[in-house]
Amino acid sequence: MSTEHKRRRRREHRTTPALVESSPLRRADPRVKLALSLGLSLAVMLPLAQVATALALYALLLWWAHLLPLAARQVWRLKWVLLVLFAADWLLVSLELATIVSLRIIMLTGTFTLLVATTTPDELRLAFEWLRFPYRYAFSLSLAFQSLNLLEQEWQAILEAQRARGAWVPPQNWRALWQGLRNLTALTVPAIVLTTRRAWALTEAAYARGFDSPRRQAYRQLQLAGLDWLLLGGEAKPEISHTARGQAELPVISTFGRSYVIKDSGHCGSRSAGAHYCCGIGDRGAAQAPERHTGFTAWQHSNHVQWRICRRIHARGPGAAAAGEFCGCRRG
Amino acid sequence: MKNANSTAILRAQEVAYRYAGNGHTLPPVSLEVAAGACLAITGASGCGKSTLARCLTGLIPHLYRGEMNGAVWIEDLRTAMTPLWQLSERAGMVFQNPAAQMLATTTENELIFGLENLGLARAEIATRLEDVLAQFGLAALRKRDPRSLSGGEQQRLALASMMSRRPAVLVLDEPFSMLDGDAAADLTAALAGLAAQGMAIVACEHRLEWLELLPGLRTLHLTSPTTPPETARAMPPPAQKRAPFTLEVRGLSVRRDDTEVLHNLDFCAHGGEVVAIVGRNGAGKTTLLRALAGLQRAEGEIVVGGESPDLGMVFQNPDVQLFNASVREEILYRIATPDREHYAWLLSALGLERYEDTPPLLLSEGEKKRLALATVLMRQPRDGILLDEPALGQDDGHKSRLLRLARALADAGQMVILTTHDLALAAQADRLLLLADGHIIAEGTPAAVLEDTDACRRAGMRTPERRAGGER
Repeated sequence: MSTEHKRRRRREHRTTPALVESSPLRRADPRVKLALSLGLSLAVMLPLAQVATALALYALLLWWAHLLPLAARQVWRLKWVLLVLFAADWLLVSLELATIVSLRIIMLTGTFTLLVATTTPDELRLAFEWLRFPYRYAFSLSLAFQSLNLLEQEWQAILEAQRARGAWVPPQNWRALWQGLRNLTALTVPAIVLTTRRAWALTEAAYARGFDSPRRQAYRQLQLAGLDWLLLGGEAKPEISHTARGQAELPVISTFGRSYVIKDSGHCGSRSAGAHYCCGIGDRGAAQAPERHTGFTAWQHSNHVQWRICRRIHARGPGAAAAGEFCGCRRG
Repeated sequence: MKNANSTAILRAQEVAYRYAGNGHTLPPVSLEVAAGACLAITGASGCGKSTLARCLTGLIPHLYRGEMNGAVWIEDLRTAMTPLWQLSERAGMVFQNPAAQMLATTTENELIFGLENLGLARAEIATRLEDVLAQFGLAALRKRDPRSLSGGEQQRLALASMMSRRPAVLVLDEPFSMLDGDAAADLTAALAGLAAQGMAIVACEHRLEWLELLPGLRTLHLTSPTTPPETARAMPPPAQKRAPFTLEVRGLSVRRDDTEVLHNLDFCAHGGEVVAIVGRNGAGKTTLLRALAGLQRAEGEIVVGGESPDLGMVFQNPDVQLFNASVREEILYRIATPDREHYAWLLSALGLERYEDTPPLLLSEGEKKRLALATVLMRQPRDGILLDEPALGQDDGHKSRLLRLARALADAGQMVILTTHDLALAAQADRLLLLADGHIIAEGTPAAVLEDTDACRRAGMRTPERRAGGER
């Protein structure tokens, strides 16, 4: 049973974590997420006491974004690296340094997870384009990013095939290590061949659809929706307090002198008392239905907007919103 | 949309090509295709079909550094003189492997990529996007990752991503080679619809059984200048004989990521038999082979005379295992005391004698598949071999050679188990196992199993004849 368990865990090993569709951050603007990740990475520079506080706040953020278990798994994968670093720093320098270095690595891992588990390479490409990266490079970057997991799969396939025919045997002891390194060509050569081949196929596919066209006009345009402002503001100066509004105790976030009530009311389609504005989740970039930008207009018109974080709609899968089953909030 | 005048949309005049590195060449070809016409370009593997397809769409000479002679005109543009992006607006190209041409992370974005490059206004892109999603039945898949789609859906998406750009010519490179029966029927119907709307279609394909359903199909046969025609000589069985044995599989179940891929399979196979496992893409064929090879953790029993079987597994893609500097080194890699006699037999049986000193990566796809097979057979697995989709994308010459080899091994008492969705190949086996959704739904001699139309349909084994017959 334990080997069975191990095997399943090994199967979950992916270079980049899978997308977490249920996360509210999944629909946030990629630029905001990029800024958020950068901001969080900078927090790594804080001294020990504040790093610990930042880590706690940060865990709260990850929990809200449904990413805590995933981030924990990613950190757990690094346990040996962390342990060795911790021991080395402690022995060679001090316990304090050991702690702070470990905390920093944990935070960076979490930040990476936060970005990658909620953003597709396509969305990241839009963010890079907005940052005035040349289209060619932004596009190549997104393709490379997409290929990371494919690379992992291919590597597993090569490993299996070479093991099956006895062309690759992992070195059994220290003396066999050198021979083992030399035998690595049995894995690296096919890996290079497969990667080159795939890259070429993609190149052809891109050019066959006019990749080099000077007339290209971007279709998707990033638009900051309600949640994005919230995240940006929250990053600038979060002040979390509670207020009684409607029938329940609701957390309020104040930024830029305005207050927002966050209400996680579960199912979106149901009508409940209070304002009925969708938080804008799923609106951004959804140019097939611009009239759905209710969240955005709500932001423009009101100082006190009740945000309902629609979790259920994402739990129903990415196709649900597309099929016209967009959350019913705007009808309210 | 287009006026049906007789002038050709696509014209090639004595177009010939020589690749830069390895000296493969395409001999001069001339052709003309008018609006609404369908042309099939046939020929054995390595005859230059894919090269010609790339010449016709302008990918050659723009992306390749070899030497091109002759000229190709798309509408009134000569390909060598026109930037690739202008050509791509007039001639669409669908590549052989649908999975390898996906550029985006959702179906929608995949389509938008091509539309953006046309420089269209956003409103126009939105309209075309909806049109093409509806036309190709992709609306329900619009937010899905293209890599998570089935082979047939991916092929539809690849076609849609070209058609949304409204080219005048569509060139397809072996579009049927990766598809099972249902997906092939889908694609044929889509192509017939496009031809009726006035699209000029050129398909490079060595399997004509589906293309023949297109109205007014013309064919152009290419002959290869380099590879000599296959000689159908009988193959002597290997020297060692294996005593009769039986492989017993009882209660075999495989779970993967909490879904059951194979459900409680029971079957027997005997030494001296060629068994074909047939089913649509994703039915669990490869998983079954991996379980038999001991590469897949599974519940249940797989035994040969009380012990676990020793079956060599040959994987679908030979590129995952070829890495040595020559065919000889590849076959003999890590074999302490090679059996010279067996080696010589392998070379002649698989038609690799001429290539002993050739680097494996310079071989054709079919030859690479045979070399991968040789590397497994050289280890002389006791009970036989497992072949995963050995015929996928291969021409008849390769298939007949493969069958003769399988027969020779079976004559020596070994067992050959292969997976396929190629009906012609399956019909040549001694026994068929029809697999659908992880269950064996029919088992027996090919003649008996293929009688069972309902089971065949469930296993995705639609054939053009049957479909055409049903519609008439």
